Amino acid sequence: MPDRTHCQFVLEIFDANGTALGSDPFVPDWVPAREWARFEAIRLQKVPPMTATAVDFEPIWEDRARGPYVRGIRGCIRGGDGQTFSVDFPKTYFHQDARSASTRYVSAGRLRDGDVFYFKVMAFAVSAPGSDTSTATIEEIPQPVEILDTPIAQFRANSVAVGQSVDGDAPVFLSSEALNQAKEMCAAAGNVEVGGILLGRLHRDTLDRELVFIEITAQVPAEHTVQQFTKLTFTAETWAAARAAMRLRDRGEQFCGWIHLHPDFCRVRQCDAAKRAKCELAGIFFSSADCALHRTVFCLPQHLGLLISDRNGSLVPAVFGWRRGLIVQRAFHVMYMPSATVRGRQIYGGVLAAVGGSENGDR
Amino acid sequence: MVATVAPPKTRSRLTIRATDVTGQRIVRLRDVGEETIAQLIDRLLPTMGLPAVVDGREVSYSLRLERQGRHLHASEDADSVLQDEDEVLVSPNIDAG
Repeated sequence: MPDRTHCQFVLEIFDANGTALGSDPFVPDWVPAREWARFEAIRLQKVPPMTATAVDFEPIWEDRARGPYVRGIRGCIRGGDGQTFSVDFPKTYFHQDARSASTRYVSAGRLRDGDVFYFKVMAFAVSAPGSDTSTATIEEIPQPVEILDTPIAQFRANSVAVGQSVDGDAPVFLSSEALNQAKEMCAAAGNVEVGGILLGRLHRDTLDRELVFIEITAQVPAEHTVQQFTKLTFTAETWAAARAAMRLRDRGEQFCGWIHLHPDFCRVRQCDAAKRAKCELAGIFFSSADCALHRTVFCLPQHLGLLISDRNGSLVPAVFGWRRGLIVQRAFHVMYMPSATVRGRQIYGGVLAAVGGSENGDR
Repeated sequence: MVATVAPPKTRSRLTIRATDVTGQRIVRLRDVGEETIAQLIDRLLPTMGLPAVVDGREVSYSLRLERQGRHLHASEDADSVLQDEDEVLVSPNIDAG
């Protein structure tokens, strides 16, 4: 079912001094917000666990006034009990749209590349859309969302937490076998990027029925990719091969995300310590290209991006995923650690990563 | 001698199922007819929530016809390669960085 809104949204862009640069009508990318709202409705058992629930979006006005400025958007779902269930998204949901809009002002010389700018979002009511013949010929087919009833206690008792969890995030449990296989694949890759697909399952805790968590059971190396030093291309054949591998396994798993390696760019380029200290490629980062891939292929709230970064010979894992329609770094648990837990903590110590920066363009 | 104008071919319009690569978004597309695979992909993307452009990057897609286990060429005619109730996989070619 299509997302519905009866508003035209407009971005106002300001420079660092607060000078208005211009206004740009835009169509928000509703998909991440829609999927987050659907997932929340399923998690809180407001709707049956099925895909394709219709979501209506409406502005949340600033200062409770009637527009045109908005401080966020509200996704509304008609629940099974006839009540409306809603999820609010902050104005930061439009960050990517604002970033895209700002390029026009950079091209026009009114902003320089890298300048700080501000934005406001306005919404204006438009008449309800008429019947669209395209929606008459194409429709989303509702699919069941498989969620197993499982006590989370047994996962927590057999795992090590990495990073600080945030309320509302679905906890992530990563099999140590899958993680170790991914790291071995990365260690063998040399100086090119490699990747894979994460398979897993969704669970609902048997005690706290509003607690849904994600189990990553396995990784499938991505075949038929094009591997380069700073780029990894997932081709149409990559996806077909991964789907075939999942079918062969036949363990009730689903695609839960993807993996890729960032080689030690500074080591390969033999950067000296001073250059390395200033280089954003020396850090842990989920690049704008990574975010674009995650949005395109893995836009459901249970979809994760496992990044393994080679930094000074250590392979450092970091997990990224969705929170209220935005891609953020996520805490995770590693299951079934070997007995040397202390060593494990050293290996898997949480790292702080950057998300969606301009790293690609600077390489 | 006068040639006889042949009546227009009446091809039946097809219904197909399209799945994204995760298998978690599935749509039914009716009225598939005289169009290329590229045009068919353009029709599928919005309802499947698949972006044609993301963060300024164009994303290219191909269709894999599951019945034949092959990726269709963008210029192929949909009504000559597809059959009613066919299943296709909408697959992006996309870079991680």
